[in-house]
Amino acid sequence: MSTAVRTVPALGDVGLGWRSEIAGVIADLRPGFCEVIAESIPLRRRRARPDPALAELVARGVPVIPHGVALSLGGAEPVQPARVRRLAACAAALGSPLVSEHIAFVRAGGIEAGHLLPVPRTRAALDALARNIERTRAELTVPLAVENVASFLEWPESDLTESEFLTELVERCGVLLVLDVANVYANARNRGRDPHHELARLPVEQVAYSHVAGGHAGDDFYHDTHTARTPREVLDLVTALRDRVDVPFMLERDGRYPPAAELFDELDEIAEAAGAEPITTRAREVWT
Amino acid sequence: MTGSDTLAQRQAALVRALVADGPVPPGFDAAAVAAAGAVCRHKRDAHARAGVQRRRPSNCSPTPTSVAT
Repeated sequence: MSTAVRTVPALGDVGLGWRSEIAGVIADLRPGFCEVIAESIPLRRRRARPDPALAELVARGVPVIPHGVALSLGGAEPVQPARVRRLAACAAALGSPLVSEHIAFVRAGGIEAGHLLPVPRTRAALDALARNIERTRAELTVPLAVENVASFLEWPESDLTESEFLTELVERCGVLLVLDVANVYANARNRGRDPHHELARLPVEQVAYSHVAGGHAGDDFYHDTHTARTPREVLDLVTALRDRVDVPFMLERDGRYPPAAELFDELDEIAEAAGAEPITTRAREVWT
Repeated sequence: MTGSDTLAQRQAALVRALVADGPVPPGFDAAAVAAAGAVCRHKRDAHARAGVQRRRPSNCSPTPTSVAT
């Protein structure tokens, strides 16, 4: 494991995505950090008004990261200023050490796709991403981290590898990364590749933190749904990444929430895979 | 695909194929576009329902509440 200082020292070793459905359980955990979907936080008079349970976590000293899903950083069109302001307002309200978004586009030609779409791995797409990252960072007072996405779609014009694309993005913009190892797994599985081989080639020095999640195997593709327990193959990627660099990990769960004890088991598995202390000890006493 | 198509045109064509009954853009795998389109339409419908329930301001898109990221 690398002994380099973390890119965001405020973050603890193991966290999870804050969702209102599991707010009661999260309140009894000791997460090293949480992430909240930025678009889920209400805005009034340009100020973000986080859920009281989320504000309580912040008051306890838990770093909370606004995670945007609708900025469309990878779009050919400029990011919408109101969406950038929303991210900045969330960071201000939560005292966040950073904000994060995706290397993706979600709309084009006036039509909303409804989901994160991959960009072609080309110089033209890098140019568009770099411009939108600069537009976004101009309004933020904290660092921005951008995340690799899962997709079955492959652009025919892609002439860079994932590794080349991410490396050039980091070098050009100096931007931080959210490295989603579940997305590395999903993409490798859907393309018949070895996820450890793919992970080994990705740039890791600028990683702010890493996402972990489970998905479902459909008839055609493996879907990164965040609605199932993290599979062993993804936990093995956690260990492989942690062997290369000291980064925090967090669980993303977005539905079909399990009983508290199962969630604690999964969080403990992630902590163990990452060589970190469990965050569930006190919560287990309360919930089981 | 032609060499003169811009990134904006290509992205718009892909989104039309995914959620607006547009043709599969040249060079894309039709099965992958169909599968991704099903995910997009499912998410959009879920977001739309959430948007109605929450009466979100018209200048905000419906809130994704279950987006896989």
